[in-house]
Amino acid sequence: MLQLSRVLGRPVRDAGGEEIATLEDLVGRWQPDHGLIVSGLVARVGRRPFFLSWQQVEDLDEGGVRISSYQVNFQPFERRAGEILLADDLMDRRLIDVRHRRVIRVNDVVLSPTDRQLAVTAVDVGFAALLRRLGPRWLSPTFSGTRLVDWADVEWLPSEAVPEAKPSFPLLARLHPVEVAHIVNELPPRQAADIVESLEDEDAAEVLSEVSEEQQAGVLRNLDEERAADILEEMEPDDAADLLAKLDPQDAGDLLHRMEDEEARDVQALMEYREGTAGGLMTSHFVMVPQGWTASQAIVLLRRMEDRPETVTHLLVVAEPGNERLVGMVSLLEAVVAPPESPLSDFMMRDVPTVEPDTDISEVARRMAEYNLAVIPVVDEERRVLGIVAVDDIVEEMLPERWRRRLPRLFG
Amino acid sequence: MTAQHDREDKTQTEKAPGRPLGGRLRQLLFYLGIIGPGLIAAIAGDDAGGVATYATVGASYGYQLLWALALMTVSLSLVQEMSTRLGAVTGQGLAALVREQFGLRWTAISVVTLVVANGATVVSEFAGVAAAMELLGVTKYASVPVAAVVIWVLVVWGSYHRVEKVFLAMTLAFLAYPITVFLVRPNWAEIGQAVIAPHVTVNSAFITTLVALLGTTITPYMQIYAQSAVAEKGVDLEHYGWERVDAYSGAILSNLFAFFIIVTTAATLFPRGIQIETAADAAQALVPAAGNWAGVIFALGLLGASLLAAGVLPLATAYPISEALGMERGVSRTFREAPFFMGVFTGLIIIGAGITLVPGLPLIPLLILAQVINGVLLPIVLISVVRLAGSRELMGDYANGRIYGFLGWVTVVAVSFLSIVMVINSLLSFAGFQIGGGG
Repeated sequence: MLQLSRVLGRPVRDAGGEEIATLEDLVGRWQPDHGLIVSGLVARVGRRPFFLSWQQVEDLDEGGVRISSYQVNFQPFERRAGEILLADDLMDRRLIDVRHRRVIRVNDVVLSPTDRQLAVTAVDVGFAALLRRLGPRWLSPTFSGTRLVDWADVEWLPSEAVPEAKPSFPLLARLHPVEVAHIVNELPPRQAADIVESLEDEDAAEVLSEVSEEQQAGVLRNLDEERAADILEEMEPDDAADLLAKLDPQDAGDLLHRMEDEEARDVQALMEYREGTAGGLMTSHFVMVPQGWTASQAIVLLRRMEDRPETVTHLLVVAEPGNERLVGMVSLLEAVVAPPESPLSDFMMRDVPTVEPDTDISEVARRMAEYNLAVIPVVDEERRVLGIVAVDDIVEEMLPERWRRRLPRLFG
Repeated sequence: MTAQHDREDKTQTEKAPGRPLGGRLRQLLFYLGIIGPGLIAAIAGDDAGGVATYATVGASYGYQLLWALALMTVSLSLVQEMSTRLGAVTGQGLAALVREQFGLRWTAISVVTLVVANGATVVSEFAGVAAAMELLGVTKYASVPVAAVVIWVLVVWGSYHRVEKVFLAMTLAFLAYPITVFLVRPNWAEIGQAVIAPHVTVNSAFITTLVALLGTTITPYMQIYAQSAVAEKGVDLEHYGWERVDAYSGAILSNLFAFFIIVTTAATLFPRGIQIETAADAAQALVPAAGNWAGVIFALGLLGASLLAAGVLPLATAYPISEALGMERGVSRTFREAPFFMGVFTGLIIIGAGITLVPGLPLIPLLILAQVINGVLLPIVLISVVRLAGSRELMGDYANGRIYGFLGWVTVVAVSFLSIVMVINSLLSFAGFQIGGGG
């Protein structure tokens, strides 16, 4: 095992043992199945950096570098596509530790020899590594402690990846959106937006819904507008409305304009309602069926729906197609176990408790708890359905502030 | 966006304290209405050390140092704009950028600088709490420990931003300064001349005062703060123009408020030869506006300003440092999860309160000493800011232009010169020598 900090600045000797240069950097190259392999060195004579290929290197350890010949071709160093400079591009930079879902800073790079090759196997994120680099060389054995993160578990930050060196972020895409959101919360909005942009629309939408409130607006502002509109379309309308409400009215208007008309209309309608009320919390994305339908018709409808809402525990039963007056509610379970041909009106719950858009959320929560409801319909004066409030939205609202907050807001 | 909204909120609570003034009141309200919103934000930005230093400058030197304040306004505007631009373009904090661009050694130097400078400022905030409460008849041995515990708990429990508004409202008491200026009708011709014509005395006391003025006007944490605030907000570059306006107007208004304090004490205390040794001396300057209430008004403002900064500073120090060093951070983490972050955060509060509690330490000189330390350490932070903001590689088209860069470096050189003179002077006087006539 070799620590990058202990070899940088060490002498480069020729076959005869004469010091000819100083080691300045290691050049890595991404190789499929092998990871990041050292392909050469950058050494310095005076102020001039030059390149030495790995084939010329006989030995590399804490004592320095020994090359196999007496003759060195002093070709000036120029970075080629796909090359990563370990000291310049990796040391002191940030990476994503996918296993622990956090952003780390590289305090040292650990290399290990594997069949005549030298590969990056871990990064050191420990405090001791900093002291080792700062202190004089003779003191460095004192700070031998390491906190290693396996190289297989790290991912570049999209904004800091060396172009062409490793263009995609496969590990990140494999994480659950909630976990990606944890990572996004730790980054400044610009970098956070880069991560969101690197994901598929659907995942990006979910990540953005889960990101802390403080971070959301900043991320959205840094997304490409067209892309932001696509992501907003994928979000639940209530989440999208909450998010847009955090932007300047003009920016929010621009984004709405770029969204598909239908989605934009839903979102805009929700934005009219005040925060802290049922209207502000409800979603307009739910399933409505006329009371004349049978259980099997309802289930076929659900099966065929392309864009199924996040929460489908209940179906709202309305008077008839075109007349959205609420007459009852059916749980999905009831619809599934009922005889397929029985009309919904036979087994639906009548006298459904409802709330109005301006009902305070604490009252909404109280009523849901009282009637043991997973969702509560929001209706207007004529009992026409406007939306539903689901229990998970309420839980989030009612949590004490400290739990909701994942990262402290420092300023402003 | 946040800053502007805050300002609007502040305007709504704006009230002119004082006695009925008839026609003059209307004139005064008009005058406050124009500069009001920004000025109130600026008042909130001037902490205990600022108020103490400006008051002392006016009381001891009259208008003589106004020229320095004018120059510092230019430098402050430049530096704050650069910090804001760094935050907007890179989306990163200063310490993190230093680590990535200048390497670990300079990072270590910057981190130590920040801890010492901000630590000194935290001490001055607790000294501010102590001085304010003593004015209200409460001993510092009661007020300071209570304040320390309350701030720690509020920040860790995440409810600090709720009480923040209360502290902010308290600082409005300092509106008494512009009102006093308005009432005492100072000699504007004399003031104008003092702003234009530099006056320098070569002695220790003068140099120390100049460095304190510098340290409190262009405080290192303000650059860190400005950059992080913009980076956290995630301003996109299309809207950068407004951030720039915000940076300039913030700097100018903040120094306009400093100007009011200096003019107030210069017009009220300086002619009577009153030196500010205690908070009660400083409060006397407000008698023309507040009468018998001067002490209470001053104490209220000082307490609000101190608590406002004491709640933000330890966090604003621990956070960027932890980020630069790659340590776990965030107040929602425990000591076990984030020992470094919580250690720095808690340590700053304990040290700040602890030093203030040392028996027999005079509070106002302690406040000023903290500003001197900030002034001496300022060059280290400024060098990073000016170098980073000038880097084409990092900033692209947003890098400093030629004139801008030049002015930036002039500031760095001037500030460094002053800082070096100050250090040499301290060493000499420590060894028993005195420059000039002595102080």
